[in-house]
Amino acid sequence: MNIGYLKKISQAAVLCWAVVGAVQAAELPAGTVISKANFDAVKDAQFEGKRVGDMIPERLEWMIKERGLTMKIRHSEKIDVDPKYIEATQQGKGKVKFDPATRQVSGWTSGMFFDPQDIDPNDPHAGDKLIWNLRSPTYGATMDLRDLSFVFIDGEDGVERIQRWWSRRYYMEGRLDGGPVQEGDGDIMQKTILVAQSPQDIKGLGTFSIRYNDPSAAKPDDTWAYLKSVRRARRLTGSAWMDPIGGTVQLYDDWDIWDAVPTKYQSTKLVDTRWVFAIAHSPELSVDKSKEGTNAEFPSVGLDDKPFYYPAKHIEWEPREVYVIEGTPPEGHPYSKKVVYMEKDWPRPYLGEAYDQNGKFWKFFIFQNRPEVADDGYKAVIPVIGHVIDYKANFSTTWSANMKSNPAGVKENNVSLKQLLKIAR
Amino acid sequence: MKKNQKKTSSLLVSAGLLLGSLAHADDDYSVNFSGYVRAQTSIFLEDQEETAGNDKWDVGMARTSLQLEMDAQAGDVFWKAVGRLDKEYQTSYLDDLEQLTQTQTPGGFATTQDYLDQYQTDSLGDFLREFYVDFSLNDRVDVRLGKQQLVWGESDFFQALDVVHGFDYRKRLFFENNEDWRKPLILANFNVDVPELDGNLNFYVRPGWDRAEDMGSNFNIEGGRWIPHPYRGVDFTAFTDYNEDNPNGDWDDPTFGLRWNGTAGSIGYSFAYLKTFNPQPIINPAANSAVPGAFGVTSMQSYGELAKNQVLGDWVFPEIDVFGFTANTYSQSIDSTLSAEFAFIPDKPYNYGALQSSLPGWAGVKEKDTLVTMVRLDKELDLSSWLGTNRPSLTSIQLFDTWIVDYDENDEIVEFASFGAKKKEHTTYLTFFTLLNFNRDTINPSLVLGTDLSNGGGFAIPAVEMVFGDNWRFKGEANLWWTDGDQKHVAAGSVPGRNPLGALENSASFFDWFGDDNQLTFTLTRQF
Repeated sequence: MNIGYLKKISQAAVLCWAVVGAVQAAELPAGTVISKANFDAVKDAQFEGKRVGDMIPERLEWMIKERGLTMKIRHSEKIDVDPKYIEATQQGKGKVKFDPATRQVSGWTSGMFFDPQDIDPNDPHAGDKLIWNLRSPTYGATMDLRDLSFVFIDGEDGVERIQRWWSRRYYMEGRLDGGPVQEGDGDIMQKTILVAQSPQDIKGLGTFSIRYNDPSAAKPDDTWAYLKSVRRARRLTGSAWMDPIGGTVQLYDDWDIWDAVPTKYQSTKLVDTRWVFAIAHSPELSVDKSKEGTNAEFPSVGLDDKPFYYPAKHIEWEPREVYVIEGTPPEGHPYSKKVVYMEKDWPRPYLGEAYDQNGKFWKFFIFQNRPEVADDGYKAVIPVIGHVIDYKANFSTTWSANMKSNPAGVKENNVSLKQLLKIAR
Repeated sequence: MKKNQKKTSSLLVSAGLLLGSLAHADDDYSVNFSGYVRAQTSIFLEDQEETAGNDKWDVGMARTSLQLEMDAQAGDVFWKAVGRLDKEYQTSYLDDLEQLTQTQTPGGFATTQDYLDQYQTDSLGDFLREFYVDFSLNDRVDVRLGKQQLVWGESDFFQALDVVHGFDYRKRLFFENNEDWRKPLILANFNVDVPELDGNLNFYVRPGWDRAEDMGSNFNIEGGRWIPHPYRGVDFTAFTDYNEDNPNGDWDDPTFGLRWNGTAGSIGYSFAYLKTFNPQPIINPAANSAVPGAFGVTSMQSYGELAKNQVLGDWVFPEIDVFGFTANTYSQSIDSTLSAEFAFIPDKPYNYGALQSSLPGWAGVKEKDTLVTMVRLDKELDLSSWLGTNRPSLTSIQLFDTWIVDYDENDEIVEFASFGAKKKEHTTYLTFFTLLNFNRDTINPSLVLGTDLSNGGGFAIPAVEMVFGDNWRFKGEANLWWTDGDQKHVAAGSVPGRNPLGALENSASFFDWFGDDNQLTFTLTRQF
């Protein structure tokens, strides 16, 4: 055997490995668009010191490689949530109690229920604690979803129809807007009004719902629907929380990817802590009313490019460190499993997955978020666009809203059944 | 009435001027227009015995409607205007009815005016269905002034507390939105928040400025398409009149209502009192006239005053007092919503007597304490795995009972003057509906069923509504009726010789009145 020849081969291999390693270590430039065409080429590259492929969950990778998703990447940027929120979280330490037997909490007043820094990933109830944090949202004490639009999008044919709504949610507890932290007698968690504005056949249709402050989640929501066609409110079933919102592919339980408290679910589980590409700095204007009737009305949604339901190509994705939490919904729920990818430092869902009763992948959620400074100076972090994609039907209802945190002058009685009857006209 | 029309016009002009001034005074101004153009047609599935020809497959109705809505925000003040223009094509069936009215009951509305006026928009007052302004006096008090619709109560299909307004039943399709048939009125409507008691107080006054056309319910007594059988082509306005000034039902009298609407825990409830007009017209027989006697009426008592129409009498909408209570809640154990409504009407007026004549009910008016009760169960049935619906299907079953509390069979009370079946102590309707949604609510079949448990008969309305994009909607439905065989028939002989008031009977109850009315209806809407 010619040992010299082998030595040369060995040297060449080492050299080759070094070259590949250098490529692997290369940092992708911000602005790179990850697509099917370059996925294999960039997956092993680095971005902000992390391997690109490691920041793309399996379902997102499938969407890129098989279903036309592209992702323009940007550098991550620190987001400051309001100091009052952080301070309230610190002050609550030691007072908020979690009962492993019932998965219920007590003693909470405001801020996060549990400081994510304190959560042990090995704690079997880590998932519950993180989902409890969702009950103290980052979007402030009151949230207006102005110009809320559900765009019904067929993956082959594009926009099918558009429903325009208006919504307001008023939290009765955990309020950090300078007024009382809790309003009322503590029975109610939040109240929500949702009213259709167009098209004409649903205009004036609206709902008013009350979610109660019941850690066991046994007490059902109270919900009324105002039917303009009969001009009166009708009581709805209390199990509507897991029904679709109208004809959309989004459940009420998908409101913020995950709307229910943990005890509504059979179980929740923290399955991973990882980095993912997510949209945390969506543009300020989500619905451009001056462009109504054109695709440009929804500048952050890719309505011009098949399959029409993804974030627009100019929307930038950035690395965010997230908790990945799986939930098993209760019997009767359309899903057998839901997965949420939620910002690690505070409860802001970015991505989600839903599986049908046979365990098959069904829906994917891409929520675009952005920081917002409220009228009262409160530093909120809010979802502004929700891409809810039903892959079985190749159909999405993507909502967009010009969200407003803590709108000035809104009081508790502005979110009531009487108010619904007044504005649903 | 002209005086009232003038008041109404002044109100509308003033409101328009105020809107104009606000539009210039406030930067926070927006105005939006929406509406629809709609074509509707109905096709009979049966022959009707009043007409000479075979009406099966004939077009009963061919209508086009244009609805315009304006929503204007001017600072804290909101203005709403709803206008609707209805135009009909006079089908050959309506030609037949018009010919019948000209032959057997000339001189009434249907022969002295354009026959289609009973169905069409022919004045600004008809067109302007709603025009009101919303504003708040303070944090607690909201005010709505102008022509509007105000609905209290819980019941589907039937009226218990929903008696602020009358309905125009002359042009109905059955499962249509009842906001389209309701007759809006000029009201001052106040709503006061009382959060300390978890409720609000709603108070309205109808000052009595409404047009005559806007008062009471219309049962197509002009002899048109929806007068009960066998009176198609019999124009009752040729020998009866609506009386606006009867002391028991003066349309210029202010009426009012008060409702407390609140929640107690998870139970929603309301208490209400209304001074309003009886939903159905009552005949005040022409007591001094010999004409009813000629039709077999032997004794007549006036109601309120001597009837002004001295042929057969006046139709009156008497003022009534209504005391109401409603409640609703969700029961987790049966995953259903439960609702109830009670309306007590002391001295509710009914026509009575003359059952063996051609004019049953023409003996006069008796007043009876009446309790209306509704109980209902709504359930969202998940049929998705069975039928492939995209969401749970709202399904409802309702029992609606009218109880004449101090009932005496010898009173010979009738449901409606001209029909001779004695009203029973309890008249109970059972209804059911289910709404299905397919393909993300773009294909929406529904089924409505109803039956009269006291007298027999009923109806079924299968329908499907389809959604095409943002703008186009289509609805097809069948209106199917069944009877217990007690229909009132036309009199023997042929027009013009036959008695227009029909054959003698004393058993035709509500669903018998529509025994030959099976039909298909189609509605195509282009909304904007």
